[in-house]
Amino acid sequence: MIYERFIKLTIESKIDSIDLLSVAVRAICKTVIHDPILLYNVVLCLVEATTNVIKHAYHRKPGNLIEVLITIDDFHLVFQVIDSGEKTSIPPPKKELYSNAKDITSLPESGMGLFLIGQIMDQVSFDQQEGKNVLTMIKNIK
Amino acid sequence: MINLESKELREFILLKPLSPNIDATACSEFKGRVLDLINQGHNFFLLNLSMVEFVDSSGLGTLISILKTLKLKNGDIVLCELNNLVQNLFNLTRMNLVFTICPNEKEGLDSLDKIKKGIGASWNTILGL
Repeated sequence: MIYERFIKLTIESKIDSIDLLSVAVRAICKTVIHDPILLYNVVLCLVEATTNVIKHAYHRKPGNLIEVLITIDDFHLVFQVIDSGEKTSIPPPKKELYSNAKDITSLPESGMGLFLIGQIMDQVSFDQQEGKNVLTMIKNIK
Repeated sequence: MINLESKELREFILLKPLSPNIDATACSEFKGRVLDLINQGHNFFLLNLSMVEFVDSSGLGTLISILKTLKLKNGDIVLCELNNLVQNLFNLTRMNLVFTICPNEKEGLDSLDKIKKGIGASWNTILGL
């Protein structure tokens, strides 16, 4: 039988609220992730996902809510980032951020969050449920 | 609000963020402070990241933007003393191939010296000096 637990966190759609989420997610994930780099990367994905929600779904307007549901079982960490902002869609993540390191003008200054999520997570999906945007990210932990 | 220490060292500006995060909250103020220094005529920077524990894509984008601005002015920014977690972000995004990253301040300053002289040499060649 798989042992499963979950916790739901809610923050306001303000960039400076992400710090609070980051601290809480790091503490929660630390209970099952013991590799510091993996822990950093998983927290990074949550930070990137919520930053995208604030910028693109809520257009930086505070006063809205972002829910983060974290489910932990013996094999996976599942993160669901849920918002009621503008209906969005996510493009498939880029395979490379740039083609030539010497061509400075081609380097990206934004849009790297989805790339990082795609690199770090084992499964990523996005859909609309009951009028809400739901980003699901799964990391295998065993 | 980002706590950013800056001082002149040799002919370069040493920047040392004392806040642990360069992220979406901190990056616009960070960029503004560096752009102020660029506008004062400084084009070569050493960024000591020893106190920084977390950089996200917004922070990374800010560093790329500063690098682009400096390269247009024939300047550069060298990074040093990244912890292995922040270094991991540069490796993941392959920005470790874009930025000059040094283990400590001394090597960072030496690297800036070489970069500056290299640019000088190439201009001298162009000008036939």
